[in-house]
Amino acid sequence: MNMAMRHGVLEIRLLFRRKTTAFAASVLPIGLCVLTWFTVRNRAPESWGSLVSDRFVMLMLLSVFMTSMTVYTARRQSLVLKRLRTSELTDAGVITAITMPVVTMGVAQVLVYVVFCLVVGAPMPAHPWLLLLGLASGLLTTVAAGMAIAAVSRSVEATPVTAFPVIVATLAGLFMQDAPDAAVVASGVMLPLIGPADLVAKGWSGYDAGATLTSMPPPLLGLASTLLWAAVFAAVIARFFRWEPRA
Amino acid sequence: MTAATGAAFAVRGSFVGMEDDIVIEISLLRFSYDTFAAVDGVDLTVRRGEIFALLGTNGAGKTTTLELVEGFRRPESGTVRVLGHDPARARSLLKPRMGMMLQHAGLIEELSVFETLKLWGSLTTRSDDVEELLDRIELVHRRDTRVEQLSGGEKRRLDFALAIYGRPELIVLDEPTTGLDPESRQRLWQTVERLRDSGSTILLTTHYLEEAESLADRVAIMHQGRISVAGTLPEVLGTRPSRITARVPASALERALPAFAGALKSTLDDTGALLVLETTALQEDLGALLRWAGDGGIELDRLTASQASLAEIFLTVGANR
Repeated sequence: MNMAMRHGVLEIRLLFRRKTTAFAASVLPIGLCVLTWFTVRNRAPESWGSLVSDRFVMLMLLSVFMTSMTVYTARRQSLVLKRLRTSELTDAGVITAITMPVVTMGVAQVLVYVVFCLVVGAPMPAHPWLLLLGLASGLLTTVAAGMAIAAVSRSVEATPVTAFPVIVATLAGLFMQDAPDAAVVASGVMLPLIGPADLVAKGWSGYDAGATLTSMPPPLLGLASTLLWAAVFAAVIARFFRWEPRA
Repeated sequence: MTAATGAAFAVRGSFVGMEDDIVIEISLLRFSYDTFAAVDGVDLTVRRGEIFALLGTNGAGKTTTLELVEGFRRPESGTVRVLGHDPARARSLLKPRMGMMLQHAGLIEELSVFETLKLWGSLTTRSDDVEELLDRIELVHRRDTRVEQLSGGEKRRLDFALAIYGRPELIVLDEPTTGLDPESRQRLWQTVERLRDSGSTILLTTHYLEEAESLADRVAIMHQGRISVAGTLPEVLGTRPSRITARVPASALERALPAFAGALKSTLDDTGALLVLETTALQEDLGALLRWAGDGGIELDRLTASQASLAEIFLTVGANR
């Protein structure tokens, strides 16, 4: 195991020492499972795609995004990132190690939720590869979003303000998915984290689920949105990321 | 100013090649934070196997200089060579050979002392005995205590242990003894000296002048981003005159004072009885004064003779703003 992996494993163990993070990490998927249990009855099989994609966005936003943003900001503020750079870890290794617990937590939460859905009667996904692509790209984009917001936040205390645009835009995109007008739904897909959700919906329930545009093949809109936001977050990270607190 | 660059003479008296001898070489180094020139044309050389102390007031540019040496910042102009490499470009090559202690620890608060050392061991190719290291920093009794529960001094000692883990070839310490009690400071100094004796090169910054006086083979005093004075302790102390003072009976002054070889200034106070002599030849001029007094049967009252102190030079540098 290389140095970054060793440190990453330790960071995962540390996740359980932070009571609030451990609590949020366990309660959220359980809460979503309970919520799904109460809303699942009498659902048509084709509606599972949008249900799972909605819950997936909530999970990413409330758990992975918040944790990622807080971890990067706190680790920078307490100079841990700078100290780790004095070790033999490469810069990429430091980021990998700090990111590992967030990704692990996200994967575990998604797995719990997906398995729960299958257990309580969801049909098998129509396009597993697309579902997997949506889940993986959603997770990575969310981690990048958290890192980007950490990059523009002076302190942990400032993150509720700096994260506000991402949270509002994502929730707006989520609500727009229920609109009767196809153009509104398609516009919503272009908002952050909704692109991967669209891929999840189509991956689970087929190409008729989620946004439908006659002008392009079904998964293309979600894919374009995912790539666009991945590029935006990467650009913000490249421009603003610092290893130590801003003076 | 005594130039830090000089003949290839290694510490502990052996001649070695110039290139092998130099561990850190800084030339005309400049770095600014916006319009503030933190480092403004620094020249510095640190030789293999020596303890080099960088002194200076707050904001003098010490930490920025160290961060340039560590490769955390890129120079605006000038060059930094560490173990033959540009530290900003060759960090991956240098890190296995360097130990660093930052001004602020940056430790992971949720880890215990032992876990912190074990973690560090997993992040370096150097090896060390963690239990022995714990003993050396006097934290055996705090082995399983979380970092967040340690006192400031204990955290500093743990941070020091990370810097010296595996006895690196070059150790860079930014104010290592800040917040330590006198006993812990003494122990840390002993460890630093042992590391030097075992072949490590140490570059450190400090506010404690007695630390530099007792530890360092060479010192440099920084002020406003520049090196004001640098060299071995005798060289640095030699940049300011020594001082002889004595109270001379008024009757004795009928005899002319002797000629002082190194006198820069000699004054008598208003009463004509207090002699203050500033000299570059302390021993010789003290001898002349004592002979003069002995020959004339003159009793010198409150006779003092002292070399300039590092504190005096530090304050003089600070006063020359």
